[in-house]
Amino acid sequence: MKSPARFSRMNIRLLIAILPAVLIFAGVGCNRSAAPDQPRVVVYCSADQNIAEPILAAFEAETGIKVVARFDDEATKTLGLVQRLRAQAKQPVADVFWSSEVFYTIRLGREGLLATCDLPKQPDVPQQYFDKQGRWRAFGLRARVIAYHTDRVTGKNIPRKLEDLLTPQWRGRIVMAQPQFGTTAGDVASWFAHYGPQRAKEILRALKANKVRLVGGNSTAVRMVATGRADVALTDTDDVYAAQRNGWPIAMTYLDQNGKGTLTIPNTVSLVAGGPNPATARKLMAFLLSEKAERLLAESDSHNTPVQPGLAKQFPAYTIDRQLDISYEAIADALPAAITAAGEILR
Amino acid sequence: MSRSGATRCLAGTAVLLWAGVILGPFVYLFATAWGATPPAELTDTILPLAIRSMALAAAIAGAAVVLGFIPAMLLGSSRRFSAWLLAAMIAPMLLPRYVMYYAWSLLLSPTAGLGQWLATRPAWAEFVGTTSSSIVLILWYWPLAALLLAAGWRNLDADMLRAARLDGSARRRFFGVTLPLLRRSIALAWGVCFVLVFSEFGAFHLAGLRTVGTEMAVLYEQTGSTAAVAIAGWPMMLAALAISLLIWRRIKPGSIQPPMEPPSAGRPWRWIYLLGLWGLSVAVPVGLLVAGAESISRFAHFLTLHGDELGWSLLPAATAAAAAMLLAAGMTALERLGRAGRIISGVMCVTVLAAMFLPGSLVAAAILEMLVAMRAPWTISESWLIVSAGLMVRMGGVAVIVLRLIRSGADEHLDEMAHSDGATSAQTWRYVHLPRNWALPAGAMGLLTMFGLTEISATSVLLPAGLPNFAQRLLNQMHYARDQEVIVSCLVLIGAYLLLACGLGVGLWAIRRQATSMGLIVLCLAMTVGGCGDSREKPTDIREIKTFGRTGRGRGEFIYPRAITRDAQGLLYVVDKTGRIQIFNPDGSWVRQIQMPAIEQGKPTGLTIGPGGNLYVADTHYHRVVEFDKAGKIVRTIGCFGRGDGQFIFPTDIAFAPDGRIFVSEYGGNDRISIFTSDGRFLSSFASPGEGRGKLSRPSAMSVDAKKGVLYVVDSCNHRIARYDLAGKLLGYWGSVGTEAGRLRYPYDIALLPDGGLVVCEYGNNRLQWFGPDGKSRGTCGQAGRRPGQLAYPWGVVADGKCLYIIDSGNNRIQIWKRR
Repeated sequence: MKSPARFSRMNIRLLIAILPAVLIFAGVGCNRSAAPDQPRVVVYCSADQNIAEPILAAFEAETGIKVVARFDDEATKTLGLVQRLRAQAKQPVADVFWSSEVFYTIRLGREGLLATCDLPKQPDVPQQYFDKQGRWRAFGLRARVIAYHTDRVTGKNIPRKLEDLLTPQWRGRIVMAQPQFGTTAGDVASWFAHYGPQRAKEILRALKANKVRLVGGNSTAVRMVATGRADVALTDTDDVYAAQRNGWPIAMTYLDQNGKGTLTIPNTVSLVAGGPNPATARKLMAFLLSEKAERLLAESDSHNTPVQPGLAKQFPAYTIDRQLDISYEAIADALPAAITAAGEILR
Repeated sequence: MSRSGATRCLAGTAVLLWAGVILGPFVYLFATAWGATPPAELTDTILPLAIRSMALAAAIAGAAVVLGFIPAMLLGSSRRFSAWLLAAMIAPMLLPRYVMYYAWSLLLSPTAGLGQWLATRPAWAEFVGTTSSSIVLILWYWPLAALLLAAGWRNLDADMLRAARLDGSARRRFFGVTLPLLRRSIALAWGVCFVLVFSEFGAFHLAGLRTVGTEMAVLYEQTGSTAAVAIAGWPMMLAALAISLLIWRRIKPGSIQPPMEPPSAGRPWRWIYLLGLWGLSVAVPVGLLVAGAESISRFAHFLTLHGDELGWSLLPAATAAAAAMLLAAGMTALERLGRAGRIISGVMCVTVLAAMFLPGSLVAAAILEMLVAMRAPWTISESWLIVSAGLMVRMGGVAVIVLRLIRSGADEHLDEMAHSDGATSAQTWRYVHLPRNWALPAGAMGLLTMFGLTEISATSVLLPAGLPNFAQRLLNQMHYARDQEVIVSCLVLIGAYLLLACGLGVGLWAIRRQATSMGLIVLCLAMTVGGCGDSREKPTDIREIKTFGRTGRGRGEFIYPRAITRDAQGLLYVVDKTGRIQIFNPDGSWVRQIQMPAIEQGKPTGLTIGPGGNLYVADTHYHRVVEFDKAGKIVRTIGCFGRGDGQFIFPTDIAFAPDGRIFVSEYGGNDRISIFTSDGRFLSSFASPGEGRGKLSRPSAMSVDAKKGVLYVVDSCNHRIARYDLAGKLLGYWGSVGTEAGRLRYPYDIALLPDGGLVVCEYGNNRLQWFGPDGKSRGTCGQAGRRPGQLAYPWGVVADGKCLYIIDSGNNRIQIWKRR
């Protein structure tokens, strides 16, 4: 018979030996995952968490498929998830990539990380929102805008296009997010695609001469305008809507590029190549492209403009006056050079 | 002493945890980055920012140290309010820095009055906007600086400060004495704050300020290269290692002393200043959040929507906290496994501390790189344990510091006693350490869990799919300018902190109560694992009990006194762990003191008055005997370190034969008695280390009965009194291990009685025991406790005709027991 002391000693040893194993099993098994027989889909989502969650919940309610989501944080908007997809290329975890922009989606497609996918036809939707090879589809637009303080920027002073911001009037009063990340990166790349590299660099130098300030994100840029630290910010529509929801003295004009129109940035959805749940992934993609999901996006605080013409007519307040006529592929092509140039010029 | 398998198992688990989660990932990360070409983004962005960030961090750390100086002075010197002050210092640090920043920024909101006023004054708005994050960081870091400075303040020499008061103005005293004495603590406080601010992410990020911390946080995503992160992280790694070495050297067990209470501590303006500062760091931000909340129904809404998110964020945080405590406990266990264990533990300690100072993105990059190298299946790499691993690396240093600081010298003695009672390591923990110390580790674990809940830098990179995270949502909500959601989230967090604080308060209260009856724990242990014999005899003829002395470093105060002797005039000499030999009148009034020449290695444990009235000190840790004349000047020293004739390892006591010969006892491998002539020439030695007849195990005290020609040697770890003649021939033993009358547990000292009997001071039984000249026990007196007549680990006793003077070491006092 074991003595109590010996028994206690054995218990402790056993506990120490078993504890890590229990934790590992618990850690592996308890990932808030679906029940064993419940279908699931893993989505990497760089759209705002508050906006995306109700839509994913609606999908869960409609299909019974468990959505396992990984959201991005605002500091590394989209790029954080893009790097994660790249790092997991050999052993993908995600099934669906829901991006709040299109440029890195195109690049991921070119890198072979996205699979082609048959999805329901959308004959009314313009072709620019389809990848020709079927690797991604677009929905729910945002636009690049100039946000300004309604008390300090009024009347004729309100900038209407990018070129307006290059005058000395705005010296030290412009703020924008760092051009390596998110929609700002795509915006700067669109200058390279639209104006050509030389003119785009001149614009960047002019902004530098105007002492443009770079901050951690679009929302921070808008907050700086609202608090009087800057007069204008280059940002997205949803950030302005968020400021207006809080009662901040912020208004916007579309960031027109030389009178040719404004860059619009759609959400994109794509199938991750080699993802573990392709069947449920297709269902989620179809849902996100549905009228229901796009309506939820338009009605959300983000007020995305639908790409489906019939639906867009129901939300005239969010109509984007004139969209820049340039292919997203061309902007994606310009992205690396634009980021490098912006980094060198604006640092 | 053989150590149980549980100790080894705990130590082994800690080593595995450390190697797998800290050492391995970082070594691999930096090894793979070795020789890699730095990406252009690095040289273009990080390096120029590094200089600016260093200047900013230096300024913020400097301001935090300056602001924290007065609170440190109060914490370092106030006895009455030390617990409250400690709680007040910790409270601001419970608020995550980005939450504190957000709360303050509500004041600058475009819809607030100040915000609207500033919006019309761009220059002011810019100034306030640029400096706000730095000001908030100063408000967050001053308590940390104060805590580190207070530790230094408590170790100041109170007498030196008192002496300085005679020399000049307060200004001169401050710059000429106080500041130089505190220079190391100031450097440490500044260094710790500097390193942490240097890698700060949240507050600077929200403020739109670009620093090395914010750039490091996004570098991995920007470059997709862990090598880039490693290269950029080298300077931080070196700074972190340097500061960790400094801390490691300072956080020895028992290194925080009790307050010293200088006379000027309690000036009212200092308390008003502290109150104001605390208000700015805690009351105002919390008040702003409360004032900003629009509706109470939002709390219910939050809990409905995100309650499970809070739970799922707590899980990895609590796991990380438990792992961090396990790591720290394992390192402590490792120290008990010999020299190699201590070396490994030291290396672990420095690296764990260094990891704590690194940016979270670097920690995350190291773990991710390691997972890729190991080709870990996604069931592992996508589990919440990875988040726990990252959090453990970020918080392990805090656990190490807490566990090391709460360990006191008494713990080792308790270990030894428990072992002598036959307790296993597990039983020792269950019955001795856990009841005594549970509140602080539990509180520390709670704090670590809360820190883990709001950590964002590493979590945002390591977070797997499907795991909701409170901190990520909170930071994103701040970005989305969803003020009401942010306010509710922050208030829920503060509510959780308040619950924790209540738990901690109850714990501290309990531990204080526990301390009051600590002796009962030992008694409980004895009853539980050592048999249930009632060791308490009826008290002998003690008719009156007085005490003098209390905890402290001032006159008449003690930090663990360990030896006592008495001269022909009746003066009492007491040495404690400050290295002072204080001299008292028999009534306990303070006369003067003698300072040992060196105390860095350790303090004396034996005092004896020689035939000429000079004081002989067993300067244990300097392996020598020091003789002081009556004026307190050193006359000579005898012996040096070694195993040879006339050399010592840890001498413990001195005794004198009637013919002037000097006996010196020692342990540490020699465990023998050496005999010297009166002029210090070695004559001979007897006994050797061991347990059997003729052997000694830690002889701790001696006494010579000149009438009988007997030398009594207290053979502590053999739990007996050895009797020798004055030539060193063994005559026999009194006592054996146990708690009953006639038995002994760790006898530490003896005093010869006029009738030829002995009174034995039993450290292990917390009592005195009388032996008659025939060696039979005549009774015991005393039991474990804090009240007069009760003892806590007594180390020494001297007797005169009427009184016994007992060193009640664990109670930092001297007890005088008058006999009938």
